[in-house]
Amino acid sequence: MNQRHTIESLLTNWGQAQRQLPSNHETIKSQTISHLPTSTLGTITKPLGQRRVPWATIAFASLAIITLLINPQQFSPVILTKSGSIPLSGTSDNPGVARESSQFAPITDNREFIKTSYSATLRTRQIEKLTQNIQIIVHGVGGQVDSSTSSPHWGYVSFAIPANQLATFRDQIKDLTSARMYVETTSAQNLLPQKQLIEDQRQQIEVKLQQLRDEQTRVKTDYTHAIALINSQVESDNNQLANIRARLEVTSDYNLRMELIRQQNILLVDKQTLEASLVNKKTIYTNQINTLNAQIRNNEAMLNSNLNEDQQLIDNVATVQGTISLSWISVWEILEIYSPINLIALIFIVVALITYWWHRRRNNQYIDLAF
Amino acid sequence: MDPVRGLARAARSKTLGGLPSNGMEEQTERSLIQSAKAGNREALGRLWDEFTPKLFGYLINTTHDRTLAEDLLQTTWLKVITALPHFQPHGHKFSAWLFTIAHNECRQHWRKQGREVAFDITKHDQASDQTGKLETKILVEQANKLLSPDDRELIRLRFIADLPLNDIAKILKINFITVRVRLHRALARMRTAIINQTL
Repeated sequence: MNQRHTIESLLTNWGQAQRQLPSNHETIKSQTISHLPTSTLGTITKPLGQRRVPWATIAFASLAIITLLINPQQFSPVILTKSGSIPLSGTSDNPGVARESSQFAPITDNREFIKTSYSATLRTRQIEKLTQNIQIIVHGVGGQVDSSTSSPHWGYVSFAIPANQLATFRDQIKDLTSARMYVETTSAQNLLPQKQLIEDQRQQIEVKLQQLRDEQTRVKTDYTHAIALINSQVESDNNQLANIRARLEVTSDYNLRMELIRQQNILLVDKQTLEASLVNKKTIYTNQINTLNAQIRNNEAMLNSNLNEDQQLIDNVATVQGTISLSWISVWEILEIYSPINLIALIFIVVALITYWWHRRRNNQYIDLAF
Repeated sequence: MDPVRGLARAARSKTLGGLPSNGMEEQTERSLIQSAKAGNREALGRLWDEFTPKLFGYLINTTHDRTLAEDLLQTTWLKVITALPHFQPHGHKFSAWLFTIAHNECRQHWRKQGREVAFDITKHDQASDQTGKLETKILVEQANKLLSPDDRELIRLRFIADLPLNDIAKILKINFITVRVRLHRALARMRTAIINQTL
């Protein structure tokens, strides 16, 4: 205790001995005190030359502004149509799905045969795992995977799913990653013009087919009537010839016989003409019928084809073709995505704030109480 | 009667041979500061007279260079004058503020020039030799050499600047308890060193 008291006394004496004034004390004092303005409170300010301008803060803030002006845009998921246009809201039953305008569809026909196409781009750091998950989801909604490729940095899956499962499928795909790393492109087209074209073609085919069948009936009827008429004339000629021949056997009058022979010859010629006509009619009839039959078969084939095409269109509408692209994302890109403004500008702003804080701290070391 | 003159007289009575003994009263100090803020050079002169011996002694002991100490003294007071309108005590003493600025000036000087210069009594301050305490001075300085620069700063602020531990803690930006412990250890080390030297 005594030793402690001794050392403290020693140091106190030493401290007092150290206190002294400068040799030119009065000169320094007067020079220094003369800097105190005699004006009122608060007018004493730091000389302009001694003020530190926060050049670093100004530089970084300027860089941030320039960066924002040059590149203000940020990655933001926007649903686009294949043509790149913004979807027309309210034009489709499916939210977020753009409906392309139907070409030449009459306004009175308000039927819808919506064909939907879907494509999406996902940014992830786990390409292969996500590719497998997508395939599982496709199979889960009753679809089929058409092709699939994956590598450490890229992945691609093309598929077809039932149209009524599209909403479920989209929700499940969205859940695979963050909303900011998911860009969806969905387009929808009303296939009404194609449907109408098919229906028009079928109507024409059916009309043509009916015309051909009517024509076939008419040809058959005409042929039957013609054949019956000719046959009746031939029959009449045969009866007349039989009568003439009978009279020739009992008649001995020369003049009468000659007259009968002349009539018989006329009848024979007439009969031959009728028989030739009969053969001719039959030939024409056969040709017409064959032609009509061929045309009918052809139109029936066209009708079957048309019905198949119609069924394919309906099947097509009921299916959604889709593709999903996967691309690897770096940490920097993730930061960019989640940054509210351009990341480089944000970094500049942070650095500017830090340099300003540092500048203030340096100044305040002297201006304020530096405690 | 000018209140500043009255206060100055009271403060002057406490000095010993031009040097302060226990410092001026707090009320007096505040009044002088308020007057100096209002542009009263006489009040500032009183503050100067009150604190300059301690401050200059502190700077001499820190820099071991009289010319540099004078420069730093002037710079410190100029900064005090510049920042005086913004000075709000809020329970802090003017002396603590003054030595904070001086401490920072020394740090800034060291940052530019390198670390503290080793004391060489043959080269540097000889002014106080006439006080007859040269022996004590050499003894303390020899013991001081054994301390770290931070502990030497602690000793200077405590015994030359005559600051309380609270103010030292604020100036050095360390905990009050830490100041007390470090001071205790530094004194113990110096005591041992002095005993060894005297034996």
